[in-house]
Amino acid sequence: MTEPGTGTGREGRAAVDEQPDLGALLRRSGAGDEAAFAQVYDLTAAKVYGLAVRVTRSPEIAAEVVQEVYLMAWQQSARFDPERGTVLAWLCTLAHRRSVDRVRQVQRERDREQQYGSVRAEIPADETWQGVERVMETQEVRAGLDALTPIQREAVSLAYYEGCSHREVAQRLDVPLGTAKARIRDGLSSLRTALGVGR
Amino acid sequence: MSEIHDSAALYAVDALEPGEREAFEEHLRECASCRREVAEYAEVGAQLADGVAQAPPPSLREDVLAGIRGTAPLPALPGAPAAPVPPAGDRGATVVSLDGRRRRRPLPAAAAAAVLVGAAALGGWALGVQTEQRQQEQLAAQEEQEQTRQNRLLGAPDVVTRAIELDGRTATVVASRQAGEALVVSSGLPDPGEGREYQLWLMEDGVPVPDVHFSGGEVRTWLEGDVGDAAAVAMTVEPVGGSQTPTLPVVASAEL
Repeated sequence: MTEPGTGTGREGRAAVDEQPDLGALLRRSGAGDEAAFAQVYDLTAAKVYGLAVRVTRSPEIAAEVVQEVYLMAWQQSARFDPERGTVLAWLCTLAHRRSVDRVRQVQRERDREQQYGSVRAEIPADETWQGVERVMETQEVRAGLDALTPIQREAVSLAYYEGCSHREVAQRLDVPLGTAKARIRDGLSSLRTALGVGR
Repeated sequence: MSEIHDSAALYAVDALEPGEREAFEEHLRECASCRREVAEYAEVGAQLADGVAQAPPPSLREDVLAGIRGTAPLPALPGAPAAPVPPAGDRGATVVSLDGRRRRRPLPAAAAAAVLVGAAALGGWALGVQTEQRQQEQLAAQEEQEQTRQNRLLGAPDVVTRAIELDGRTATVVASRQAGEALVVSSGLPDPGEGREYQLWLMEDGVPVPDVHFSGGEVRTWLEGDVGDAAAVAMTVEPVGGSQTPTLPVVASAEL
């Protein structure tokens, strides 16, 4: 949220899209209102779960991630700061972080067992994007991603949907580290503009 | 723009390597412009998540809601510029009563404890400590120690509260793996019966390890074992003095 006006605008739009307002429901949750929290879940769970499935590629692990995310959200609900962003962004951030950490934990264990490099390096990056495109429901997001150059899109998809670190993105795309970082960064920056977030 | 500022986008999509992530979080504390940028990329992330949304299994909703049932969210942070909790639920009243000036400073320890008590609706368990002012110095020192112990628990970053329910009455377990400690409090448990006591068990690798035992009524006691390794806490009714193996059934339990 950059300018104060922008933030309010986004909240306002969210309220129209997803009545009742998530921020208000979360505030009520913070006061111990379980019914309000159930509504928060109902309004957001498909995105949180979908993201977790996408990153972990496991419905079982995704279900655990979802449990953890909402437990954390409930506990922290009175501490949620709307100045810092929307409820949905917060939940997706939690879900992405947890999913990525789970994937990397599994990877570390596998790497230790197998004693050789990244096992996930085999899927060509292009398939990643096609896979995302197949399941992608929202025209808006698709249009946003289409606004990127193919190499940016590839890098953003690997980082966000596959949970790759910049090092892994570099390996998968066989480019120097600095190039991989720049592609993720530039891609996200273009997306930010294309999707009309902030600035 | 220096290298560290460049990391905001990478951080927002969890693309930093472990060491880098921590370093950037340090930086975030002091850099408002990076915080703003991370927040914006979080909104981008939410829209990307929208693209792959799918309905979760219905059972997951039940599991999530069962996990929070009867528990209370943590109280609002005193230092955070968060919106105050509206006085819709009386549980939040303690938090709301703090005025803006006070909310900018860390709460005094006793007040922090009181907020948690208020939030968890546990009754006057901490206030009881305060009323015994005429006790000897030794006792006062003990209380201070107790207060310190309690504050350490409540201040732990991973502190969780879990409700265990019994015949409509609730006992709350406040636990932190990091602190390795747990406190169980209740404003009134049913009488466990003549010659009986309640006993708690820490479930470690599926094995119940005997822990504290206590009678009904008002409860406020520390667990003896290290909760760092425990997956759950279970409660049984045992003969006075406790047992080494649990007498079934388990009357209540909570995952940690």
